[in-house]
Amino acid sequence: MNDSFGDFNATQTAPAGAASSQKGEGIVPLVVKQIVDAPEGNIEMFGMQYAMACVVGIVRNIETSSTKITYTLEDHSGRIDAHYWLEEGDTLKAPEVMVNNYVKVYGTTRSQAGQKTLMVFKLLPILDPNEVCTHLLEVLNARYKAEDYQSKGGATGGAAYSGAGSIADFTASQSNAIVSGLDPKQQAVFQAIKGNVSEEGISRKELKAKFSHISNSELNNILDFMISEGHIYSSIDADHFICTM
Amino acid sequence: MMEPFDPRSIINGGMLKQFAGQTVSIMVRVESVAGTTLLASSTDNQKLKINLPGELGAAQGAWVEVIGVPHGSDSIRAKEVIEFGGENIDFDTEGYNGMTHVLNNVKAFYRSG
Repeated sequence: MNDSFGDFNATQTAPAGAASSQKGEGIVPLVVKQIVDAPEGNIEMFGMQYAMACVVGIVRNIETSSTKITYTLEDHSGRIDAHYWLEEGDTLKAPEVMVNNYVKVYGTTRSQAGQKTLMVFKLLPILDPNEVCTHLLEVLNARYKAEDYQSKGGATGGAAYSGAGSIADFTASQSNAIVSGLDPKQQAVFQAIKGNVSEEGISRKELKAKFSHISNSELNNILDFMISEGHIYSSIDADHFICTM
Repeated sequence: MMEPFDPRSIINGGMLKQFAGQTVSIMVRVESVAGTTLLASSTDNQKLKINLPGELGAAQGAWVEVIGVPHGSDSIRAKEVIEFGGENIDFDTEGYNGMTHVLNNVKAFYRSG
């Protein structure tokens, strides 16, 4: 699918002097005015950095040079030039695009002398007006979800928008680590094992005494299950357990 | 040569009156075309009369985007009409109506943090 991805990165290295410590991931849907109004630097929305933007607009002009094709894209909010770099050697077919038709563009933004342009990664013609409507809804969603996410203090508020690769911060506290995938009984046994701070870990006998309401066979099953899942392991012998976390 | 850029609001039929005199963009379904007059229906079932700048080749039932200036509650003086390549498009009118409502009523859309 992304044949030109490697090459695109190659041509990107020089201007990417914005080597900020935080490299964004993911694609954010935007309208032209959001790009034009944004400050220099990486694409950002309420503190969240993105690798690329997605824009939908009408092609107003197409200008071809030996090195690139420049599309002038327009949506209801503004106009922006989008550069599509041509590769040497390859008989690269320029996208089939006509003036006054809608296209969807994926790319990065660049500031040149205060002017914003788009560096095109992918340009696709749009044949269905539903795509235009959907894009605007996605733009609205991105904008307000991002603000919401930021105001809720980031990761603690829930999953990050657009799955930008950030797993919710999971700091296991000593006593309160909840391991997902365990039912309440398993969870209780796990906590007992975790709570034991001796070098050899807690013994099966001690666990049986602690959990006298759980039958031997059930307790053994629980322990076997947790070992197979990797939550605990046996230490000095098959009857002593330490948790892996 | 490109015309200078003119920002526009995306609306539906019920909002025409509110945007009289301003440049708008509206999705409409072609009912009939006669010369430079297009009779169309909006996503919220308003019947509209659109004055075209030139000939329009769109088929009956096709959805097109009209960019122009409304006058009155059911007329538009179109600057241009954008056609889509697809055929027999099932346009989500409910989605479009919802979108126009939200887009025109949200606060501080162009803030970014």
